[in-house]
Amino acid sequence: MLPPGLYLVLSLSAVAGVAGLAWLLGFRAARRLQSLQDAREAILIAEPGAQLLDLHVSANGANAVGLDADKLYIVACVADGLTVRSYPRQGVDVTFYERSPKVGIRIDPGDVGVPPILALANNLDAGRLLARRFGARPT
Amino acid sequence: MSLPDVVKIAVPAFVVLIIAEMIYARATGKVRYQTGDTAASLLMGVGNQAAGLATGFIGVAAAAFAYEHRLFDIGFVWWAFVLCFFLEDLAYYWFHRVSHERRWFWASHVVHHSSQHYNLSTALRQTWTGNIGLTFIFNLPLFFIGFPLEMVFFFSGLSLVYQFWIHTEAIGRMGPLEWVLNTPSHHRVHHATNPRYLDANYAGVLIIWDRMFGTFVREEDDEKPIYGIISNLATLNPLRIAFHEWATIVKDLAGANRPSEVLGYLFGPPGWSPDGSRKTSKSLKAAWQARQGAINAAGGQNADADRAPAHSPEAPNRA
Repeated sequence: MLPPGLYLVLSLSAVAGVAGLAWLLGFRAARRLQSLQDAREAILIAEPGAQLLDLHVSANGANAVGLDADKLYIVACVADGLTVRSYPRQGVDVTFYERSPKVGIRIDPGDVGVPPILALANNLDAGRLLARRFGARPT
Repeated sequence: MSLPDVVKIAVPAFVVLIIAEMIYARATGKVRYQTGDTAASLLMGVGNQAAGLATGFIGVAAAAFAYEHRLFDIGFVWWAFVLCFFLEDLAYYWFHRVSHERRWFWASHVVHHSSQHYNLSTALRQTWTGNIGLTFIFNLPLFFIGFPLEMVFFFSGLSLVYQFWIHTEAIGRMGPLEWVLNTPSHHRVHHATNPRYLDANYAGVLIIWDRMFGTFVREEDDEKPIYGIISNLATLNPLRIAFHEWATIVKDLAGANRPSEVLGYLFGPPGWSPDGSRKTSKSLKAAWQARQGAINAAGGQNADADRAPAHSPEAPNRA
């Protein structure tokens, strides 16, 4: 029987090998939101009763954030999949984010299953407008 | 009597079969893989083994205690092996069912369902908190009866090894075997989030338990399973995958106002909330059945017509 340390090293090597092979075989699909309609549909499928007042798709298409009267919706692309979660508006920390060349809002739902996301805007002015729309606090 | 650790022995075969399935997926497009998802699943498997080394003593100690107080001295006789196989599989059925129906146990088991893919690598996406979450208690009656520890652990391991190969979309239905065995088709249903398929097919090796206890649902040709959990994760980080439900439980408990709420958050069904505002699999299934009933009553041709967008492969699962 192998010592646990060696067993662990071999296992991690096997993980790296299999993941590398998956990459070489071309399993690299990454989901991206193409439009507001894409994000809207995703939210409405998850929450048919959602009455969206505002919706923004990140400039890189990696996520979207939506608002209705009392909920904030996060649509996040994960690998080639999509996730939609909703939170009470007041329970989500939204801050203005500016670290050149990225500008937008950082949304932290305080959910271990959903890491903070960066919803990006195309430029500084659009980023400031986005921050106002979603009630972001300055950093 | 010393019996082999079949899981450790099978690990190289797991790796070879995953590679074979990836090549098959590449050649046919019938199975979906994604590099990040596969890496996350495999890392969860490695973590499960490491966690087993660190915390496995809890389950072994409990098993030894139960065996110390056993009712019978069964020993390693041939009929005990046969009986132990069936009883261990029955215990697995109840462990698995309770792991879906009670949040305390779901917090560990959710890890296994957290991939939006269904392939052989998904089989290795396993919990790190099983021993801490006391999931071993379901096997304790076997030790109390008097089945030796080695025998029960052997069949537990064999069950895990058996369940590896059924995590695939590469195999369709298997004829008469579908009546007795848990097959890829049955287990695809188990991993699906389509309301029709929720809370079904908890079997380990033998599907007979689901047929006996009324939890069997067959895979329908016209409804492709959508894999994942009701509210999917937005991360491939193994630490977040391993602990997200526990963290949410802690958060919920911090906001609980009454002892009944504490109990509900801990031992109610996943999705339970004091005001019923969150969705449970039962409520989702009931809503789906009500929709079906209404459509059928109206003479609708396709009772599932309203589900089409939600079940397109490109669409997310319900939050």
